[in-house]
Amino acid sequence: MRAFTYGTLLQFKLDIRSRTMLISCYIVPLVFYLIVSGVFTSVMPGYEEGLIESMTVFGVTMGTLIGLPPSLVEIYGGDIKRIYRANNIPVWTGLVLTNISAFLHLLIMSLIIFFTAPYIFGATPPEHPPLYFAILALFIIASQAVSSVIGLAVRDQSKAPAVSIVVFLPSIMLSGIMFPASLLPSPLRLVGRLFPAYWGYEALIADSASALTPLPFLLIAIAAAALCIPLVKKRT
Amino acid sequence: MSAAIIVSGLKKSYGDREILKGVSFQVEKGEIFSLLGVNGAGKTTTLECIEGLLQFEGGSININGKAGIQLQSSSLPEHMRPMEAVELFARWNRTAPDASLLKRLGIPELGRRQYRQLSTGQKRRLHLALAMSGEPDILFLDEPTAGLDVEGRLALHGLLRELNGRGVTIIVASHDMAEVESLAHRIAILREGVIAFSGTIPELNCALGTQYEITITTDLGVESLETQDVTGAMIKLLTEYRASGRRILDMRVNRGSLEKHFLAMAGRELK
Repeated sequence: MRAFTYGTLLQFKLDIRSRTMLISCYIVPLVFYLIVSGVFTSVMPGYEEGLIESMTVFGVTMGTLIGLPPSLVEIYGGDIKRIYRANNIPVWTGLVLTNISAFLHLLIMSLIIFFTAPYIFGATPPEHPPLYFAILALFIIASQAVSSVIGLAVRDQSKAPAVSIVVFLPSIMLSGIMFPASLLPSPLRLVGRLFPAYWGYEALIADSASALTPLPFLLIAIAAAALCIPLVKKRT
Repeated sequence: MSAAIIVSGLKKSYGDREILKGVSFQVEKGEIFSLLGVNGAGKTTTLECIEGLLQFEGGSININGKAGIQLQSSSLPEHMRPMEAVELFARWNRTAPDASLLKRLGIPELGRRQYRQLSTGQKRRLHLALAMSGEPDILFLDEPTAGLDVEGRLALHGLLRELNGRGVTIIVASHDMAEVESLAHRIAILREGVIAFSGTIPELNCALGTQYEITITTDLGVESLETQDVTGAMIKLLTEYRASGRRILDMRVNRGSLEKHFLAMAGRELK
């Protein structure tokens, strides 16, 4: 347990030192949040309503899809997994610790938006914060699961960003944060439902939750985990 | 002595290419054992099968003790610092992190630098420290001094002797014959997927017949000859030189090097 805790804290520090994680988990989401919120709240009356939710969905999607895969490719695409395995460090720790650390970073980024948006932009905070954060946690986990599949499936570190962008763009465009998903043609609306961002935004802006709310996140996470397990085995 | 490692009839193929065709050898506890072979002979494959990193098709491997492994090709997360790596490896091996390892390998000043900022030699030394950080009974080293400067080599040799003195069994795959000659208690030479020789270096010399090289510099030039009978050859040469009136300026007798014997056993010739 001590080794696991040390590994988690170490991964958290490594992610702060990593430019990719720093940019994709903090700098781009927060700069995007400040600029877009500044512009839209001044030109679009009522934008304050879903501001926290939409900026959080953007930040989490950016952080997971762009930030997480390179860390996994570094571990599983090269020699790190072999040196870990050779010296009694379980190979699954690469996947698990990277995800725990990314989860914490994304939660911090989300908290920054959650606490600052009402003061800076007069954003309306969610009515039920505990429910909001429970849904947010599910959304982050589902997004990380998809990113983990990319990080494990791609072997070449230079190709990971390209694959991530291919998933990131439709994920954001079809999520409903840019414009209402109801305006999209039905085939695109269906495609959007394959990505966690759509379900994340839907669930975060809803005033209430039902027993079915976690279902899409769980289904996406289970499907992705089912792909991750053989990929980890294949990589080791 | 009891066996630390017993390898018996090890077979491994990559596709249709049979790399190991029944490799067998035994490493005793507390010895430094060197695995030799030309490039592509299967040293790394043999080591990685023993280390559990590669699956093999036939034979058996028995390891008696906890292993520490330094691979020929290794890496770490690029933002990790050396001491963090030592601590991570030690914790997963349930041992106390030993900061002195870095100092003993001549890299104490690297504490604040990240892995990506280290030179090739520094990375290699760090990976040696990591292999040792789990306090292993058996240490596997694949080309441990490749890329190291003289200082690093000497520091490593000293550390290996110290560890061996404490009872750690060490297996080294190396190309450096001088290193092997100075460190190894026993060697095994891999040739075409099988062990062509296993034993001590004097035993290798006996197996191939000890060849001596006599080099004489006279006022007329340098002459050299190879012989197994040094005494007879020298008496003959000195008699000839005296009769012809040539003046001897320098005379050297060298035993055939491990390199020559290794190449003879590995089926190659010196160029």
